[in-house]
Amino acid sequence: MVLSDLLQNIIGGVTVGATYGLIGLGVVFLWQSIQRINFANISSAMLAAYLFYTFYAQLHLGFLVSFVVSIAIIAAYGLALRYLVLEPINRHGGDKLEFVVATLMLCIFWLSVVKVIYGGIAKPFPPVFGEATSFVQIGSISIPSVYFWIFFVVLVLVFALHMLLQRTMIGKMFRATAQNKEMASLVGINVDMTTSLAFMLATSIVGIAGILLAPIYFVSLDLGGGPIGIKGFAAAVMGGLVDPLGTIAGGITIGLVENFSTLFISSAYKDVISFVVLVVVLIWKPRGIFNWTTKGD
Amino acid sequence: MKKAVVMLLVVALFAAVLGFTPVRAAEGVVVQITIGSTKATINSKAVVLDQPPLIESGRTLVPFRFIGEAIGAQIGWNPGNRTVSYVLGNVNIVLTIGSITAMVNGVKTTLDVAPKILPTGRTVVPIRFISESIGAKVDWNATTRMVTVTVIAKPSWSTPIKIVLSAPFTGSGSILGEYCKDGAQLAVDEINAAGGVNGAKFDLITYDDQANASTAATVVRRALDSDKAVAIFGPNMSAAVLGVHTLAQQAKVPMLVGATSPSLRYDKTQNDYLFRLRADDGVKVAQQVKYIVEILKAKKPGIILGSDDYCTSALAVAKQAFDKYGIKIVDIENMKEGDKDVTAQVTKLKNAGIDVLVGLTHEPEAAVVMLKVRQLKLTVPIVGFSAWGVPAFTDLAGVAAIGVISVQGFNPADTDPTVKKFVDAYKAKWGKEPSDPAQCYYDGVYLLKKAIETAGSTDPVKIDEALKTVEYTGVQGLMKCDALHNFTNICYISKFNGKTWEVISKIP
Repeated sequence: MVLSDLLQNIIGGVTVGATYGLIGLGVVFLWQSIQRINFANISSAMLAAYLFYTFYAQLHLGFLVSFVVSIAIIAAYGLALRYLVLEPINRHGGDKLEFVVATLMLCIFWLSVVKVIYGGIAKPFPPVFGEATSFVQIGSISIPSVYFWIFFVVLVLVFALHMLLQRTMIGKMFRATAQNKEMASLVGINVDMTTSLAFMLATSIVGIAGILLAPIYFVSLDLGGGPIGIKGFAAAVMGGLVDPLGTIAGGITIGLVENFSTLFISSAYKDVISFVVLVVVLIWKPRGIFNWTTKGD
Repeated sequence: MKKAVVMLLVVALFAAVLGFTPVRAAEGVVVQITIGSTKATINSKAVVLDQPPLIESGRTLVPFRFIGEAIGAQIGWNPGNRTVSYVLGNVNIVLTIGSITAMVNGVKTTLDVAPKILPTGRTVVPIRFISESIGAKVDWNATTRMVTVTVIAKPSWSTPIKIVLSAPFTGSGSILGEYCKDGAQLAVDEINAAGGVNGAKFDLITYDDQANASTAATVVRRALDSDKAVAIFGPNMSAAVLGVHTLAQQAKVPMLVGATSPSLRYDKTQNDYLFRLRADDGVKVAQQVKYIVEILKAKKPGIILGSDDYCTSALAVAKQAFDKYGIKIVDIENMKEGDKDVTAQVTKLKNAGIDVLVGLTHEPEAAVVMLKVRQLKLTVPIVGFSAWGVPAFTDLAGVAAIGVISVQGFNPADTDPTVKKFVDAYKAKWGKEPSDPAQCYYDGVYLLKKAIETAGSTDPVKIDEALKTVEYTGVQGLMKCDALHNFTNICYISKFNGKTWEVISKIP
């Protein structure tokens, strides 16, 4: 095993892991806002990718238009999620379990809808982030151009979110609501608005992650469920379900663990090892790997 | 007012039911007449003729009404033109008294002897001509001077031969339903346009079996109980076939599948009613390994392996095949269906010093592997299993697939004229190129036609018997049922050049 092999795997693991982190952010935002787990979290990724594919590759609308419209639709979907799923459940006295079941079914529903409209075969993502076979060569390390995009977007997004949460009024309202909803509304914060914002942010971020992942995952049903959804959830858990930075770090950890376990142990046990690592982290640092909680469990 | 409407509907219903009685062929009729005798038999039942048959110019003439009724035709007599007509199924015969010119389905035919009106006032017609025109067999016994006419029981144009196709249109894994249906439907439409099977047309009903056994079971039960299909095509996915083939066995209806798992071979299933229409995976992997060892002369193969049955069965065959050559597999790396990052696997294969990469995965995984292979500059030859030779893989991998070699069940670039004819017809009708397994269902429908013609019946049991012996040369070459109930072992070794697969060798 040469150093370049190691570096190559680190780069792969970190990049893909960062996208797991983005997906985890969707879980975190919603948990922060409504204390519920959205099991259809990953569906936003798949829907965004398919929407972008439709606008760009089928309707030829240009990259910017396709991207903006796709994410706008996904943000609207977030709102719809709140008013058509969460609110009715709350109104009828439903609680955590009902929301879990409803979103689980929603996840399966979206998979079926996409399958019926687009078919079950994966489609290649248009080369907007460079050709799938265009690599940047640094010495003996070869990095696909899409990786640079992923690095860049994740960095920008995380930075922007950090700025939003820490430096803006809205961010402050957000954090206040997350800490204590009753108190926040008592001091005049529009909890209704922050909740809607949380939903829209959650689905949009995951939607962006979906478009970033589509060159690697292809425009396929794989983007909408199963392993990748679980990895996103695991990343969120590693962040204690509350810490965005911890979530990204958690996703990167998962990406690295997958690569190293295959490299040094065996490709057959990759998933088992990832699972074991997740459990170990949970036991060791139940409040998130950075141990940074802004509220009680 | 309401009552009148109801009455009208009831009357209309009755009229519809009565009016649509199709003209059917008599079911298995045997007619015997003896020259000079008024005694005849229809299905061994004694009948008395009002005019004994006679011979003129070497041809036997019989009363026209008798033979018409015996064979079950609709008889017409036009005193104005002095014409006699028979309509049976889609055969229409018109004879003119005193004329040796007859019309069969509008086509002029010359008779050896003209129909005539005898001095007794009876009208007689040539029995052999009438009988053979409707497809019956005529036998002459010179000793007893007896003519035997055998009408074989067969469906007519208005009672089509029902066949069912079970194919995956939704569900996980390779979705090949469109290819299955387009191949079968093309054959059905061609056959029907050319007059059908013994004058009866195929009626193809297609169902989505969702590539899983339980939906396939529902489909097969419906085909057997409700549609009363005489043969079932598909399922195409081996997992689905494993769950339903015993249903066909119990119902004694032949099931012809494109599924390729070796576990469907006759020695494993012992199912007399299950047949395979294309080369199975065991055959293909053996050819793949043969090419790697004998042509590429590779000595250190590495394998990238998927996790489901299609992949693991292929591995078992590959291991056996490499063993026989005395070649040790240097490294096997695993991936799961849906895995998208194989950096580590390809790194390990590269470091193991392999001189050929054997791909035993499905299409999306193949694309993921090839993108990584190009990224990490693994420059050995790549020889993939059948999933590596289809558009579902090359579309995803794009330029990364150039240079990949694969074993295929079908290659539309094959210049063989039979293949080209099929490809052109398929493209003309469906607007796209055919891909494996369209060709096997196309061949399958023609094979069924031949079996029905050989059996002389649409009885599924008789069709099954015929399928075991019949030989048919189709797009896949000579197809004949072997001991494993496989109809063909044809496969190609081809190389992808970015647009098409160039055939390196075609076996056999």
